[in-house]
Amino acid sequence: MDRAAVSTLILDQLRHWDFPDSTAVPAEFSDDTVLFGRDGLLDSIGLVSFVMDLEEAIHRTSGRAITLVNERALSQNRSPFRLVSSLADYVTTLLAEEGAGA
Amino acid sequence: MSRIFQLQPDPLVAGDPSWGHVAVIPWDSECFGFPVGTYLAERAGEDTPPPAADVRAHLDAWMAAHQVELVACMVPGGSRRWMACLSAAGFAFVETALLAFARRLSTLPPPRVAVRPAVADDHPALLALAGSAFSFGRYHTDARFPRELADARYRLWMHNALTGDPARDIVLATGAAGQPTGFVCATLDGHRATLALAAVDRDANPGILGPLLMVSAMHALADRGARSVQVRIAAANTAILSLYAGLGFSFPDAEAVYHLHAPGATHLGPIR
Repeated sequence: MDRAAVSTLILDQLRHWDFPDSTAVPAEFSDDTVLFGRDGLLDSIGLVSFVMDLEEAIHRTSGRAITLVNERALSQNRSPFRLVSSLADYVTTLLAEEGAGA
Repeated sequence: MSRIFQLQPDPLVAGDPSWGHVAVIPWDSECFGFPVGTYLAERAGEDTPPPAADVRAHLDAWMAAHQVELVACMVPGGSRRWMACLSAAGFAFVETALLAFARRLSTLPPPRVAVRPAVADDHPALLALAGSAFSFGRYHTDARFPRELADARYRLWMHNALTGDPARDIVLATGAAGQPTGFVCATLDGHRATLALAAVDRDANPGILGPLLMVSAMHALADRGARSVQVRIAAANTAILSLYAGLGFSFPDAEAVYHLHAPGATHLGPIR
């Protein structure tokens, strides 16, 4: 599963996500869409739910199990959950490590 | 060893319990350095209140007699007559407090971060975090109450939790020993856990650590025998409200919280 496919998966999940306040949701999503933090679309519990659903979607799509929400994610200087692009980068890295048996 | 404080309520009107009771809150008074009290309107959910002017007159007399500078009153959230009476008597509305409650802790998502009992090396950081992390709670929300005293009260709560009976007073922390990034303080009474305080360090990815900490803490409490968890939260704290709702908590009770400030109270400032 390459980065482009990961980004597509994230954007697709965003398009189908039930946001509490639909008026704050942009018409289109992109790699630059802010997921979390200042101006983010998701609050903390929303982010955890979104990322857990993403883990399941990755497993369904690729057959590979990775954990996105854990202490490693918390220890990053820059949150991997800030943008669609940073999340896609993070997922791609984890998939590569998982594939390499890291 | 912690001192044991107890409320000693007196009738607001001698011989007539329908007016409710008043008491100095000894633990808060000792923490603040001046007396604060509570007006226990026990029948606020049932009866029509007494005339507001008369309630105020009796409270003023009691406050003057005991040098009480602030009196709290909590009434059920739907008791509109009592809420109107308190407002007319000069009480300021402070907050709506919700009881959040969860059972079936076994249905929680799996823990994703490690929590551990707080150790001695954690104490300074935990005390500092308890004394700086909070913006909700009635003393924090009361615009005339000194913020530093509201913070001091939570530091005292943390101190009491860290030095209390470890079978009952539980302080769970995340992060390395000596460098906690978050905590949950709870008491365990049989199968019921009551959360007292919970906070994460602002520099420790708080947005995502918060939910993860709560899930892990509730698993830890379940491991210690808890079958249900309850906590009081401010309705205006929508971030925490969303977190607990997302974890399956229900909100079976609401209280409207009011404060009456004594005229000429020397420790209460202007609206901040």
